[in-house]
Amino acid sequence: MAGPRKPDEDKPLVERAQNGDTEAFDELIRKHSSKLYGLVYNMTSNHEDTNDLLQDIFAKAYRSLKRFQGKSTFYTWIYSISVNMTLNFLKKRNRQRKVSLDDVDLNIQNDSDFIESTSKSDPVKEVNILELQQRLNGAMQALSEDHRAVVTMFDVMGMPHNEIAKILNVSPGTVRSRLFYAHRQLQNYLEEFRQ
Amino acid sequence: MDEFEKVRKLIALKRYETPGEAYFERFVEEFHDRQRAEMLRLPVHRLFLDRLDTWLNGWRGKQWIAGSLAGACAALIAVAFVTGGNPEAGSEFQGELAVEEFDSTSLLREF
Repeated sequence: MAGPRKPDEDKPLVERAQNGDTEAFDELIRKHSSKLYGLVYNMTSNHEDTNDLLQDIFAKAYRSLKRFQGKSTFYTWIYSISVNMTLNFLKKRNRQRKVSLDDVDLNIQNDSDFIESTSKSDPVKEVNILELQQRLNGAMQALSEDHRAVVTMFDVMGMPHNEIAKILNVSPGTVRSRLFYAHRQLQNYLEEFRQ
Repeated sequence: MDEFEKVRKLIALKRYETPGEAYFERFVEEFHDRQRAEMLRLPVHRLFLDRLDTWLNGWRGKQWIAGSLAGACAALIAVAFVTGGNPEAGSEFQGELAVEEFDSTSLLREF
């Protein structure tokens, strides 16, 4: 059963932006762009496409903002726009671009999971960061767009099933079954890192 | 440990694949540049409609004022239409002015 709806913490900014305050919309961009970047990038695996798509997403949100009535939170609303636009983009082009790995954030090296995964004394398993990124991106690209979207939101962004279901406009059961299938595929692809 | 747990941890590492803060500051500037460029490409009537829409939205919640203003505008347009459509009405008005001028000149002469 659904609990009481959380109040939308973006509401004051949204209302100001709806009344023509462009600085309020800038604030909304600053607040959400980093996470949305992660969402779009992990679905496209290309930084240039991500930048262009993210610009288009915020432009669309800006144009549609007056019609946003607050039936969902702003966060859910803009995530839905992002996922739909990215899925349309991927389906339209239907391409598998070479993955860009130039600007991987080196903070990854401080992550305890990364250290655990890469520093177990067996020298064969000492993969370097780029190989690992390449493998991960390859595994993600091997998934269908719909499966990649749920894996990105659940495993990368850490979003709960219910939130993903709202964004994709499907049932939580569908989200779970897509995740199950996608995890099985990823598991096969990343077998050598799993041991 | 859950069989998929290690794979999930590896996948979660992708959260680090984001650019730095400087990128997001530039992103907002780029957004403004793109918005301006888009506005320049729009036809004039579309810009006018956008402005009108924004202006009307500003009246949201003050419908009675907006209604009164709209009524007053409609009344003014109606008056302008009625007087503008009847040339007699305009000439009568000018005639009255001419009579007044005439009277004041004759008064000056008498003085």
